[in-house]
Amino acid sequence: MLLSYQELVFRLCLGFARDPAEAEDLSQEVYLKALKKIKTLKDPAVAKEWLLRITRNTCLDYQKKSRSRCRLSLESQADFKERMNPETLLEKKELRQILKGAISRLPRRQKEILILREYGDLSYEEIASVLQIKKGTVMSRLNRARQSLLRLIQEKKNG
Amino acid sequence: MAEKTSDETLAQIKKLIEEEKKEALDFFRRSNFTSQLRTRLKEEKSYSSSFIYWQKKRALLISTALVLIIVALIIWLSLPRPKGVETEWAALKDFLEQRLSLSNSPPLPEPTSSSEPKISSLSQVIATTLNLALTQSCPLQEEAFSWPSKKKVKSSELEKKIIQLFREGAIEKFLLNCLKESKEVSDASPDAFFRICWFVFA
Repeated sequence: MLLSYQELVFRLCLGFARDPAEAEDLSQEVYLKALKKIKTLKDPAVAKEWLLRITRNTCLDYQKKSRSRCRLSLESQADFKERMNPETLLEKKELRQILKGAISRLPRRQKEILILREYGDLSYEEIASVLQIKKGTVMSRLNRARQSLLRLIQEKKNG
Repeated sequence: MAEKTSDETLAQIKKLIEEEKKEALDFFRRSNFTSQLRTRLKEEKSYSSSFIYWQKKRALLISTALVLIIVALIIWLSLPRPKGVETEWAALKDFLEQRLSLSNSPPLPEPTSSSEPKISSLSQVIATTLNLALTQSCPLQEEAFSWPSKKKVKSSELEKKIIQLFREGAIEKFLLNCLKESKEVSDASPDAFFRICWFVFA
């Protein structure tokens, strides 16, 4: 049952990670943690929210740790790049780097809400359930996150 | 105007994210996530089970060692522990050395350890005395073993202690051993033995 959410978990991890290979590693971490804690899941109806909460916590922990290290899976990165068009690679890479850099510099609360919405494609209700906040708070925080992201990208482009 | 630019940028951001997700999902679908996860789960399980095994083994060793130490400590504490061994030893040594000096005998050995039980210390002294007495060229005078009336040691205390040791059988055992081992046992034993007995009970 939990494995049916693997792509969703991966997408969320992608928002926090630097590349797909790193996101995949992170997804595995999430599932390992989830399987260890499976006994704490009382109601299977809330399995999705429960798994997404584990994903969020694992990703935030990972980000804390990865600040002090610079890990890059070169092999997987190369494999990923192979399938991209070499002409568009440079432009896309540059734009993505700007975007990733801007997202990573967002405040923690804004960053997580933006990733849940944009990478996880979650509804406001689902985000509210995962973060255990009100729907209105989700909307206002998401709006602030978008504005901050725009500002950071503009700064990057101008400077 | 600025709002329009923002909307355009936001749309561009959304597009970029969508493209990134699409490409990443292609990569993810190719990677066979489930089998990789199973392998990693097996590795984790084997690691944790071996870790638990060694933890248990170590815990067992530590607990066994602790139990042994506690048992040894209890046995050691339950053994009779004499009071003031050093004082008694010194007093008895002084006394016997003084007695032995009458026949220019060598001094008594120092006690090997302060924690040595009293019985063995006293028995050692008496055994040494007996050995010396048995190997004397000249016969021992009765007055050499007579109980002193005015000594540094309280004679009544010393007597009490020696009698107690005698009742425990330690002195008797040592005396008999010394007599057996002595070369002149056949000539000297009845006399010397009775003299020592008399010395002890005096």
